[in-house]
Amino acid sequence: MNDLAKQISDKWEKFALYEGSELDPKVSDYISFFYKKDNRKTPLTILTGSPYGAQVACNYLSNPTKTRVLAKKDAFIASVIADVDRQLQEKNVNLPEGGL
Amino acid sequence: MVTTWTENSNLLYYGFNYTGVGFDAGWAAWYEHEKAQNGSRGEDSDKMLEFLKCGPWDCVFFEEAAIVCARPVEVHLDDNQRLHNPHGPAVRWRDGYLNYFIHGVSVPGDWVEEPHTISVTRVLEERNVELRRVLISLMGSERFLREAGAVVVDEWIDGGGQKCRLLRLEFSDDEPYQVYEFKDPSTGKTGILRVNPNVRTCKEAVASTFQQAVDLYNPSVET
Repeated sequence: MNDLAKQISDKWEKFALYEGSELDPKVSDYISFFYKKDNRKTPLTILTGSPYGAQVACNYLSNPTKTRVLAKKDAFIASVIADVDRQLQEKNVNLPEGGL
Repeated sequence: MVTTWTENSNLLYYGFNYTGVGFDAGWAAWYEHEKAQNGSRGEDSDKMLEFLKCGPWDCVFFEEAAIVCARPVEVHLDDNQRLHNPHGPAVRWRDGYLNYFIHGVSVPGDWVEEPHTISVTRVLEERNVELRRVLISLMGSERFLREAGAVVVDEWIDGGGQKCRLLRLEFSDDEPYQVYEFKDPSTGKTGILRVNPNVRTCKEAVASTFQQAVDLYNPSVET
C-alpha cells in the first residue's frame, strides 16, 4: 500500500470509529438522489442513534400502535419513539395508525 | 441495561442495507484513492462518496422511508482489532445503547459491569464453550479455580524457593482448564498462568511457558 492509500485508509477508519456520531443532515439529499436513480419518490428520512434505535424506528413506522404498547414497559423504546415523533413533526408528517 | 432487539421477541427485525461507513469505509477509502489517482468514475460513485462523508453508519431502506443510523460515540478494540472492553461497553451509541464485547465475543452487559456476581455455577452451566471462557476470564481464574475446587496435580519448590502448584479442572465438553500457580518473590503476590493441559508436572508447566521441553529447561539462576 502506498503512502497516499495508507493515509486515506487510516482517515476513513478513524472517521468511522473514532470521530463522534455527528450525522450531516445532507444525508437526506443523497438518499433522495439514490431513490430518484431507481425511479422512486423521495422517502421520509429518519435519523437514529444506534442500530437498535434504527430497529425500534422501523418497528414504530411499520406498526406504531404495537410499538407504543411496548414503549410503556421499555424506556429506550419510548425515547426512540419520542425522537421519531419529533422528526415527523418537523417534517409535517402524520404517521397513520396502520403505519407507513 | 437495555434489551437488545435479539432478546426482545416483541420487536421485528428489519434487515440493514449495509450502506454506510460501518460497512463501506473500505470502499470509500479505495474510491477516494482511485479518484485522486485516476479521476472520477462518474456521478453515482461521487455521490456515494459524498453520502458516506455525511457519516451514516448503516441504513434500512423502505419504499416510503429511509432509516439512517449514526456512527458510534465510542469504540474499544483489542490488539487484534476485535471489539473488546473488560471494564465497560465496547461500543457506546449516541442514543445511549451499549454493546459489550470481550475479545470479539458479544456478552451481556452485567457480566462486564458486575463480574463479582458471576458464580462458579453460572460458569459451569454455560454450554457455549467460548462464552464459558469469557466468564472465567471476567470472574478471574484464581477465584474460579478456588470456588470450583480445582484439583492439585503437582507441587514443587521452584528455584527461587517458592512453593508452586499445578491446578486442573476437567470439563466434559472442553479441554481441561489447567494453570500453574506461583508466588512472585519480588511482590509476594500469588500469580497464575494458564498452561497446556497436556503438561503433568510443575516443571513441565514452567518449561512450557518458555516454549522449552522439560529436559532442556534447567536455569542456573532464577530471580
